[in-house]
Amino acid sequence: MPNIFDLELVFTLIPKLLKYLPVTLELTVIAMLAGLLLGLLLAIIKMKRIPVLYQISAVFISFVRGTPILVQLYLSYAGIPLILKYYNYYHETSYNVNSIPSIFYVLLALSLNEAAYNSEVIRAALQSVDKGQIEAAHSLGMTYGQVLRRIILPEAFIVALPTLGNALIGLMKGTSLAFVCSVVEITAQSRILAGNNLRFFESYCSLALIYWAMTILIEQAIALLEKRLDIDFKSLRKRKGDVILD
Amino acid sequence: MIEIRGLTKSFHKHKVLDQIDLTIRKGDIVAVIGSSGAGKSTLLRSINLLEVPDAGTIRLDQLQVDFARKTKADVLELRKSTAMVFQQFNLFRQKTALENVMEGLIVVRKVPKEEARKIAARHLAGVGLSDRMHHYPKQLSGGQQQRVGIARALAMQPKILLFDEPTSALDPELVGEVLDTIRKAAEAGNTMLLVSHEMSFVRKVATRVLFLDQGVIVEDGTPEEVFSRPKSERTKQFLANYYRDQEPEFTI
Ligand SMILES: Nc1ncnc2c1ncn2[C@@H]1O[C@H](COP(=O)(O)OP(=O)(O)OP(=O)(O)O)[C@@H](O)[C@H]1O
Ligand SMILES: [Mg+2]
Repeated sequence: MPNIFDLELVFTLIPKLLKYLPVTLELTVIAMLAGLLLGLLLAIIKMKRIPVLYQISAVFISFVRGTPILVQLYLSYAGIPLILKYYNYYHETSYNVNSIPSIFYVLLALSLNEAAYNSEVIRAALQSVDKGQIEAAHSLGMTYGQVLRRIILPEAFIVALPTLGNALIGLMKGTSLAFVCSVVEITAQSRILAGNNLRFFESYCSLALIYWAMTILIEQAIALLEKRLDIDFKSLRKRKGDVILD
Repeated sequence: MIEIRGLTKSFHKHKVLDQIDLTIRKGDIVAVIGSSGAGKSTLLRSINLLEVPDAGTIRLDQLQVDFARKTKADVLELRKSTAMVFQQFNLFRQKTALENVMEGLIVVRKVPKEEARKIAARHLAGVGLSDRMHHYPKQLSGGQQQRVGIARALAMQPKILLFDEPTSALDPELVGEVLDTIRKAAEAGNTMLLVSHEMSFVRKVATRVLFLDQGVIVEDGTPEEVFSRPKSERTKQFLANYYRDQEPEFTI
């Protein structure tokens, strides 16, 4: 029988792809963290209806939602060098476009995209925190920042966790588009390997298995985190901890 | 000593508090009674600026605040010197009873964590909850939650404690334990402003009773004076209605 599909190759290719997994993870983790922080900022701007910033953020969010992520990556990759050229021109500096690592363009586009989508989730979660707790915190003499950090965010986080977990999975898969900015992560590497041995299907199978495994891992991690944040579970641990301390 | 002058507050066009003057001496247990919508909650909430009055001043020992010209620092300072116990308890849901009481100590009063833990444990013991320190609010009964609320307020060592109907959200069989806790706090010498519909409790514990009607204090005296010899027609009517509603049906 001719070797039409080489199953063994699928598994021998996996380690070769995994060498580039750190790039995928780096993109995912950094874009998620930046997306959460910026998303929180956008959510607060929207909730407090801060003039000017509110309008700007509304347009920004509408734009991000209204354009494909692939196009946003193109814009970042082609647009940032232009901005740098203008900057050099007006400030008589000579920053080199080539000194910007290509991963930067990807991180920028993914972070902004993630921020726009997360901001709505975060806003809904922040507003779900009941007013009574917030009033109680204020009545103790806490500042808005303290109330946000110590009371609102911990509770909102639990509400938003399942949705943010899905966003993280979406983002992880979305990093597969990084090749358009010539960043080599696992997808780009699978294409390179396929180009070398012309075993496209085997290469893509390995790739798919890695994404699938990663997704299951993230799902499990989120489920574990949800369990650890569960009040009955936390209470049990604290009571046990107390016994040990005594 | 607390001195409120000309406290006025409107919601839209509706005047809820009208030129309230009120002086509360240290150690006073002042009860506020009045019908629904009289402005009792608004009065309490104005004192710690959860509600911002339109006009008036408040002096709390050295701190003098003009409501119309308050600064952010004024707001924080006023809130640090007062503590509120809410009708709906308003405990921090993601924190244990102990952490609820520690929160203000650590974040606002900057007490070191270990010391805050000791202070909080002492106050929880004071409200009879030593065995519930590591429970979360949803694992506690309403009465226990409210006692945590009281411990949280007491731990801040406020110059005045504000209670807004602290037992109204409780099942009848849980009211007693909370009232006992409040009475203990009163006997310990705390200054209190208490809105309550528990007339017999007010009568026993308060040193002074105010009857608030349509944003005006129409009666101000000892419990004996207000309950037995009310001066205004409105107070008489309110008390008559109250006692009629309280009468058990089988006496008819
Ligand atoms: N945030 C608000 N917006 C508009 N009107 C309000 C607001 N808060 C209170 N009011 C109105 O102000 C009046 C006084 O309300 P307040 O809550 O102080 O009454 P209360 O004496 O505490 O009554 P209750 O015994 O029902 O708690 C009411 O007519 C109420 O409808
Ligand atoms: Mg009220």
